[in-house]
Amino acid sequence: MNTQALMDNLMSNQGLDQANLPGDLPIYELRRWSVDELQRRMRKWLRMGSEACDKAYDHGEWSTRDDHTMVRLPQGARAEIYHASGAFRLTSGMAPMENLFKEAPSRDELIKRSEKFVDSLGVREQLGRNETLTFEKLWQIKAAGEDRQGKRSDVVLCRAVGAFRHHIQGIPIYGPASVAVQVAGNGALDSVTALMRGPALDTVERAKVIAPERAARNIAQQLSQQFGQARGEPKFESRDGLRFGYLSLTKRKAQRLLAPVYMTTIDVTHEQERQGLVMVVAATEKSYLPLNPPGSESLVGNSSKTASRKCC
Amino acid sequence: MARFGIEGIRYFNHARDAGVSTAGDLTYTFNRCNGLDSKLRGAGHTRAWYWANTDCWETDIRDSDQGGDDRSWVDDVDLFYIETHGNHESDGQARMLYDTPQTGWRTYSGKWQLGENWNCEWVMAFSCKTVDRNNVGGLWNIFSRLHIYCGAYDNMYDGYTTDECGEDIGQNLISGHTVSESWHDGVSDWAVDNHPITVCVGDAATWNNGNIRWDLSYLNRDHLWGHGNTEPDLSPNQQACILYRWSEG
Repeated sequence: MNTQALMDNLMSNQGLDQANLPGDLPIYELRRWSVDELQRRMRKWLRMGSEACDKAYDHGEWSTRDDHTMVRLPQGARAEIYHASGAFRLTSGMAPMENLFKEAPSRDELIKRSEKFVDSLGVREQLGRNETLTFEKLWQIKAAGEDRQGKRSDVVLCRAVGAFRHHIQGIPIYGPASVAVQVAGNGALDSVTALMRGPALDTVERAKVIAPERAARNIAQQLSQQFGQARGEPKFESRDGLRFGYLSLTKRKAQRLLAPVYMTTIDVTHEQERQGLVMVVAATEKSYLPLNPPGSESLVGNSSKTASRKCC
Repeated sequence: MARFGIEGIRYFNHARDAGVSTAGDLTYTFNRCNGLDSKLRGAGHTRAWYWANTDCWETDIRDSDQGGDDRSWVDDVDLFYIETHGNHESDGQARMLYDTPQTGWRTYSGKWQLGENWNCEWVMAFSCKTVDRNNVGGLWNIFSRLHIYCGAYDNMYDGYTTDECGEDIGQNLISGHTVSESWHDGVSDWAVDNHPITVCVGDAATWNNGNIRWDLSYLNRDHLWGHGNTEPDLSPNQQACILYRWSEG
């Protein structure tokens, strides 16, 4: 494996402003919310959602599960909030191929529509001091078809999804999109998801940020360990290069601290297979987050399939 | 309620040792498989089987008429979820890797024929590039009353930020989302580009001479058994079009 080529690829990301990387950064302690507090927060989300969608989301069927609270709302709408993270989600109940875009608006127009919902849902009002939320990426869900003769239909735009990123002191908090607003063709809000941990409370300590070259080398070494014995020559590429920021874990995981990381996605091209990896390494000497834990094993273990086969 | 089957392959050491592939092991395969299994069983659905690593065989999905045993496995459940490495052939066939040659190391969708007189409605493959978006018709043969194939048209990513995808898909399915939406939303966090695509067939009324009636399609109407409407099967002679829906960033 050509480690240097991969490191060069990782370091070539124009988005990583190496000259302005901070020398050190605060490690923040995150506020933890009780289930009661989260449910109050959910009521506020629903109140804002009612106004943004012009729907009656003020009453519904509430149920609390082990890791989240769910509310079934009129017309198939549904909301949930996750107890470990405060992640919130509201879906309208609209069928996915209803209210398609008759003509695809420009990207700028789609971004503007998603921004409008972020404002009307009062998302930015939930931010703490020195926190911001900025547009990150426009996603589009499209559809098409073809007949038996191979005649293709026009491509139709089904939904536009504006993804937004939460920042603290100007540093992005990576992980799933902090806020994602899904807009239908009739201008209605189809869904909104929000994963914004915090607000950050105290600074636990300040930690020196390691150089990106070191992080790139760390990632290259991890890949070398994983693929170094391969008989062929898989090719490695990072489409987006190395990114630097804080990391929010996924919504079912509790997280006490906010600490900086370098992260990237790696595409591996084997002779016949393709493989995609998300790589995250600590951007500090000490690791504050449970990065790269070993995955679970199968619930069922190795059993005797041969014994249970019905034939052959 | 639905019967489902799961196959997850995390380790590929046998395939590598045999010189079949250089593909690396995965890490969060069973986080996703276990998560889906737990959500579906928690809602009262029946796990028919759950095979791991070398207990997953290519004959499980290969049609019984083609020397396989799908009648006993994939085509004997309503929903089949598989996680492994994948890609596609130049003619649009999906291709996936196994870690044991029972009897081949790879499956090719040209030898699948799902639905038939048997059972399968939905296949979900957390696997890279099993759909060629420029040749989706290359999958048509698999729809022998199968409703929807859920896959990816480019890479899908294994990492600590995608380990909850199985729970998310399952939660969506049991909460009344359509099968298509359950897949798109379940594998998407709108940050990592997992390239989801859902593929189905439709009848002449749905094709409507190219002015597609999307409202009639499986993509719009099909839910997991017990969680909303599930459309009737479409036999091959009723199928007039192949329809697909994808997310791109």
